[in-house]
Amino acid sequence: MTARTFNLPHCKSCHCAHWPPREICPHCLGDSIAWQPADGGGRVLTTSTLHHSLSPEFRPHLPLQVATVMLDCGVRTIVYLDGASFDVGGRVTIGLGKSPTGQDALVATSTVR
Amino acid sequence: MARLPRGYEGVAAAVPVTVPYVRHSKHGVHWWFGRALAELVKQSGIAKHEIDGLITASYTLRPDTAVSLTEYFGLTPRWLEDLPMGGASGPIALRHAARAVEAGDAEVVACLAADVLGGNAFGSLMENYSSFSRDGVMPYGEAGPNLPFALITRHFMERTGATREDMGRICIAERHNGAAFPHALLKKPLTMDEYLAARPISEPLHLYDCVMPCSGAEAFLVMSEHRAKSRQLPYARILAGIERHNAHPEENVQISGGWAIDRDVLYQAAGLGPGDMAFFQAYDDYPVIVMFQLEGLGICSPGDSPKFVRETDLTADGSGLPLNTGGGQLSLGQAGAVGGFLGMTEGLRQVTGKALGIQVPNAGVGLVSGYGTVNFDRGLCSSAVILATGGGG
Repeated sequence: MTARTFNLPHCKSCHCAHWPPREICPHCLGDSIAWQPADGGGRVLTTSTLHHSLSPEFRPHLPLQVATVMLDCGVRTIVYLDGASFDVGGRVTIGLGKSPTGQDALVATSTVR
Repeated sequence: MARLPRGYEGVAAAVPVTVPYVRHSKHGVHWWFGRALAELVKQSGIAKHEIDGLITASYTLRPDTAVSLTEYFGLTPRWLEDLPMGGASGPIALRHAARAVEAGDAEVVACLAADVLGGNAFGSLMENYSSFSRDGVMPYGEAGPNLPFALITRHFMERTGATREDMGRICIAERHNGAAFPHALLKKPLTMDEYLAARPISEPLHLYDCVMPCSGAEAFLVMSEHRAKSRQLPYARILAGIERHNAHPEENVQISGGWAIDRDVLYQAAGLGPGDMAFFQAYDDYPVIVMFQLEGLGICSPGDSPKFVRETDLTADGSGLPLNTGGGQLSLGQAGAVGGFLGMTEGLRQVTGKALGIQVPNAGVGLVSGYGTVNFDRGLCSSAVILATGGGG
């Protein structure tokens, strides 16, 4: 789960980012959307330790730490937590990484202050 | 407050049908729809050709739709609707059908929900539940709805001080009610020790917080009071109904649903308040959502639902507020969108004095609520109706 460059869909008309990806901007309904580098800084809103999966591929990797993170750019994401200790309200940095099964996924690392 | 909508005068809801659920169905979803429809015809004495309105809710009917069912069952309705609102679909089906009958667009509307979700079917449904879920939720462990509701539940617990015991009180009361309900798949009473000792699923959710996927069908008819009386069918009147979609997108983690936006309209149209309800059929995919509804529908104040469930007897034969008097989905299992109809059929039975399990005494007026469709990280649809004893029987 290594964090790399992080792009989010942005509206070229109103410059707002959004998530999950859309072809139409939810703020201004503009239809010109581009994936652009985003500031991955954010705050943990809530967390869960996942012990059960519908997919046999995930089962060997359980438990998994997952969270809802509010990015500073106003975008809400569900992410993996990379590491053990994450407090609600704590600062994190989001990057594009991989799920344990190799899919692209957003991964949060704790921000060192 | 918004202008009050016109009422549903002269409209009856009748003939609640439950096709007993099973964990693993040997039949396809059309069979479940067909069994429900056949029971409506048999129990009402209303012929199939007299049904001129049809409204359906199902996840597993795809690629077929309500349109497909007209040909499958040989119906020729003049009013047709296919609801994608899952757990909110029951009260929404009733208020839409009631409006059609009140307006004269249909005479007899069959409201049907069916789904086949045992075994691998549940995982297959979740893989393609919505585009946002596919892109933004399922890559994070493929946990289905357990993950979004675990995130919502932990946030709610931290915000309100709700404990696992508070959540457990809801599950235990429902299982008490379900023990008397003939169609409950889970009939064994649940103790607090068992609840607390259950294995974790997606913390803070444990096994008994989660509904069991299964197959089933629920149905009812909507028609004029005149027709219900002439057929001697016990019926309910619809005092008020509301729905709301994508309420409060500004909540970073969902804490309320949409009921509070329309609650004043609901109660004012009914001329009643939350304290007048003899029972509450709430959508119970997870106990935190019951708490949302207790608060959103004004049964208690925002943030007070943990205290409310600590201090209130929620059993159907207790002294407090009878909650999910037939046992709810936590006892019966969740047959997909059918869970959205479960409170409706149970509410109709209660106000007509025809409970299959525990009958609430003096159940003249009751509240039925729905919630559903976790498109990304929260359920987007909220609904509620107030039912009152009609005549008929």
